[in-house]
Amino acid sequence: MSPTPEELEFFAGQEELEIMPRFDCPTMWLISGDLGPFKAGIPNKVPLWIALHLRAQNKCKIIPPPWLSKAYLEQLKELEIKSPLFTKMPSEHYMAMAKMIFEVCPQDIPDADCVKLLIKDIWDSRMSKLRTAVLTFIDKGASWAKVDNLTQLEMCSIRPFFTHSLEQLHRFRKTIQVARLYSAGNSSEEVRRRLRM
Amino acid sequence: MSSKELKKSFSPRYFALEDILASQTRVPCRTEVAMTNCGFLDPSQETKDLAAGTQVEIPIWAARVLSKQKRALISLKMPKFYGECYREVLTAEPAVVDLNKMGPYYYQSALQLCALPSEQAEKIAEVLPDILQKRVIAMADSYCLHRNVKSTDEVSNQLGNMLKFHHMDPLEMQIFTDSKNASEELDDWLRF
Repeated sequence: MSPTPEELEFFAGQEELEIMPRFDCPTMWLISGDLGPFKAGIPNKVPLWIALHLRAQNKCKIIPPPWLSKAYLEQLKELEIKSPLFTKMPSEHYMAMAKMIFEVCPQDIPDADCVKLLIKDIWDSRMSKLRTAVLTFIDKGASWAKVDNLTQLEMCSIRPFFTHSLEQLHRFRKTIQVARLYSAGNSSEEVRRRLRM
Repeated sequence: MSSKELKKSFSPRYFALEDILASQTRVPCRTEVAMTNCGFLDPSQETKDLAAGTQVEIPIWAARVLSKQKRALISLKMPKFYGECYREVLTAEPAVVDLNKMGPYYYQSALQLCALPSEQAEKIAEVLPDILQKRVIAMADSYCLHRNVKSTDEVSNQLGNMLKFHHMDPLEMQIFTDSKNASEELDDWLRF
């Protein structure tokens, strides 16, 4: 019912990326869209899954997206650590994209180790913010909260815990109402009728 | 794909195994009328009949039927573990109490007890969400620990504020294992 990390990786594969093909090819008509004509040496925009597929066969070179660079990520990390709320991430699937690119071709990214560390730091700081937010939510017994700029993968990490515990708490709170009706001396049909209203 | 749904049995369902087992919890009651041929309800009775005013312990499912307002064959009292002093202990320090000692299905039985006509039902019901809330917060830090940690008990000994594994009621255990599995799955996937 809720997306697993593998499914989110699949969705992340549809983000667009620039590549430098090493081969020539006329336009390919695929079901999900057209792949423009490839000419060796001229950069081209393709979905991530195609880019990685071609790179694995060594038919192209991946041009990393502008946000996957040391300078940008350092700036982003500063913003993230300073701000008590979540900052806007460069892409909805930044973690999944970074992971997939690093899996296939870490050599295409300049300063790969620094970039990896920076992304991990940003991820960790967001996760700790999220965890404290969830605990405060349960503690206060709030019924709604508005959070901006949260990515799907981060939501995955809290999902069964947060939803199930809130569900059970709600169930218990509802029982208070039930108990009140029963102790007032109503029969069970009466209680059921009242609750349905 | 791990099962992310908390098993559907943790909602009041007639055929749910947890519900059936939870309704086995015995409730102390007092018979109001003499009941012929009902001596088997009280194992210590020698006679075949139950005189009015005997104390018996019968399971919730039987108590529910026998205490219907129109007939009122018995009068109920809440079992010991849901009484006044245990409730006070639970509201004071919910995270350290061993719920397994208080009966195999503490929360489920409590929910069923609240449906019985008794003055204490409301008080029990009011105390329940707060207990669960505090215990869930105590559990929140331990479920996402990396699986290299042998057991949460080791860590809880160091940090002293997490919910011990064997203190958990089956409901909490279910939440805990589901979240732990999901978090491990995410960690596995995230291996850079």
